[in-house]
Amino acid sequence: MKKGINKITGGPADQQGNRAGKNQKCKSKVKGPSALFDSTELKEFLALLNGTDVVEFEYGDKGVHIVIKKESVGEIIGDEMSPARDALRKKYRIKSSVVGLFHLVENDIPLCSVGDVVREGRRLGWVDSMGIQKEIVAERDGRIVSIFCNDSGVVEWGQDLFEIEDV
Amino acid sequence: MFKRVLVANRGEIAVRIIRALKEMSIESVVVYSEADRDSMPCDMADDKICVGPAAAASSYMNISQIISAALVKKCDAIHPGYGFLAEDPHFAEICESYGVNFIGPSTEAISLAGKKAEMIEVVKKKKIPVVPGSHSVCSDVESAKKAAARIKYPVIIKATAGGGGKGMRRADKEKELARAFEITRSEAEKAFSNSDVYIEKFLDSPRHIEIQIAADREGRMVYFPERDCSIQRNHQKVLEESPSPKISKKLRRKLGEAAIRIAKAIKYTTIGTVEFLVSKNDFYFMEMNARIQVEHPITELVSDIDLVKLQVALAAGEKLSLRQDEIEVFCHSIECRINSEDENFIPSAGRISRIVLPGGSGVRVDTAVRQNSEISPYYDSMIAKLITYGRDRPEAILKMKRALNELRIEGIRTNIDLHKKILENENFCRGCYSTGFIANMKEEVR
Repeated sequence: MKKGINKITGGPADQQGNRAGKNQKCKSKVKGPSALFDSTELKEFLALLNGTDVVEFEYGDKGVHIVIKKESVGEIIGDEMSPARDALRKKYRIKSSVVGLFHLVENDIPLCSVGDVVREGRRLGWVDSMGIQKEIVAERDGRIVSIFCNDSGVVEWGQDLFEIEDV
Repeated sequence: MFKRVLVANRGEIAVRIIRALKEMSIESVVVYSEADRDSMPCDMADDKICVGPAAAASSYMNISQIISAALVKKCDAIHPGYGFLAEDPHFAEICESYGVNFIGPSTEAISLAGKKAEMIEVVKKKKIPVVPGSHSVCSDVESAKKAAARIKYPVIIKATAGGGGKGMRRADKEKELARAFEITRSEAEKAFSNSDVYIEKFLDSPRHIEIQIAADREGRMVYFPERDCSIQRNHQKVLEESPSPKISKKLRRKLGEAAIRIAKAIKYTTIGTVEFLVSKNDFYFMEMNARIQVEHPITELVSDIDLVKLQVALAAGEKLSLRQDEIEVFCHSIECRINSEDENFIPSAGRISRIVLPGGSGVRVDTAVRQNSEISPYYDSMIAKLITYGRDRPEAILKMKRALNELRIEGIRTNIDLHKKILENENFCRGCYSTGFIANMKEEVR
């Protein structure tokens, strides 16, 4: 590495022996003719940087200003996609309390789908048992995670119909 | 013939029915409660459907769920087994209204057979003796007292909708009557949803003799050799045998002909049983049971006939091709009801940790339990029927003793030892016993 490096932010020394200082930073822009790298060297340097925990590199010298910054992939903890968060989110299942035929579609329109956010008391479907319709409603606000039975499917007592997670 | 039958029962009788259906190439769909999810009938049937939680009232006796199960599984018939809804005329009627065949007699016949007091009137008109009694429902304690005074004590108070030994109480004198009356009414209401009771003379040391009959829709009927069901505990049968050691051929014919006349009077079809009390050569009509009975295997072995297959065929409208002169006594058979109960007859629940079933010549076991079966407190305590048959009564007894010694059920209490004592009892071996046998043996048993 040629001299002119004035900011590196990162952890322990990289492969070139450069060590990050406490208050040093690097940016991702490159300005001016590249007196520091040719394209091959730049690519090699970027690959090298990727293998370290350096997140910013800035170099400036005689009109050449290079800033290289690693993009954050975002925090995992606390995100909606987090398995940890999923586990904490309460779920419940609605089971059939009768034997019959499960219906999800009324007048060719599905009453609900996976992913729907439903309010407490929302009608989700019904089970026809000897001509008597047993309504299936959401017990509390939530998002439909799974629907376990097809429209017009046979259901038995205790069979899972819906899984809903709290929102 | 039926294509697919819903088996609306559990345990050994469900297994029995499924086996018969398989041999008839009829598909079986068994209902089950949550408690029976891992049961043998569920493994054996072609299909299964859960109809409710463990409690029988919410599952096996839940008419709407049973009917719904038959409809969604496209069954064209329902076999009710015994107990539960087997003799519920309301259930049979609903089956009919939804176009599902009920494997049993007509709604009218079931209804009439279930009304004990009315059946007594029918039987009296046929000049067949009945046990002295009120012959009608006693609506209150006062009318019961009047009837009992006329009949003379001891008397027995019986639920008109009762059966299987349930819904009965004895009263030896008037001051016992009021309490026995109220308890019987209360038990009848809980067990049969019908609190009607009537009073009968309590006969001392009679034999309980029953006649199996079969009938088609065109009125052809036959009767089978009698079953002696006198070995009872609290009016519930413990051991049965066929033929009875103390019934002559002449009395057998009289009983059989009486049973046919009674069945014809109520236009009975498929199979059923007429029960009598016999004292020396006198017999009295007791009740009619419009179902397959627990003890049917001994008749099957004695007469070499498959009664369940016959029942299904008759329910499907087939003609009864069997003639009375073709029905013979081919052997002697004994059945021991193996119950999960302790020496005080208290039901014992738990997991069967080990089971060894007897086998060999002349031995049959009807059961639905196996290793790790969970015996729950929700259902009847009978877990198996051990049946033997031999050329004569001594041989059948010998085989039963051997089979009882081979039988091992561990993890729960059973009445196997009681049966061993019965089979060793000298009076039993001589055939000299009556309905008071076990009560007399009680101290010895304990």
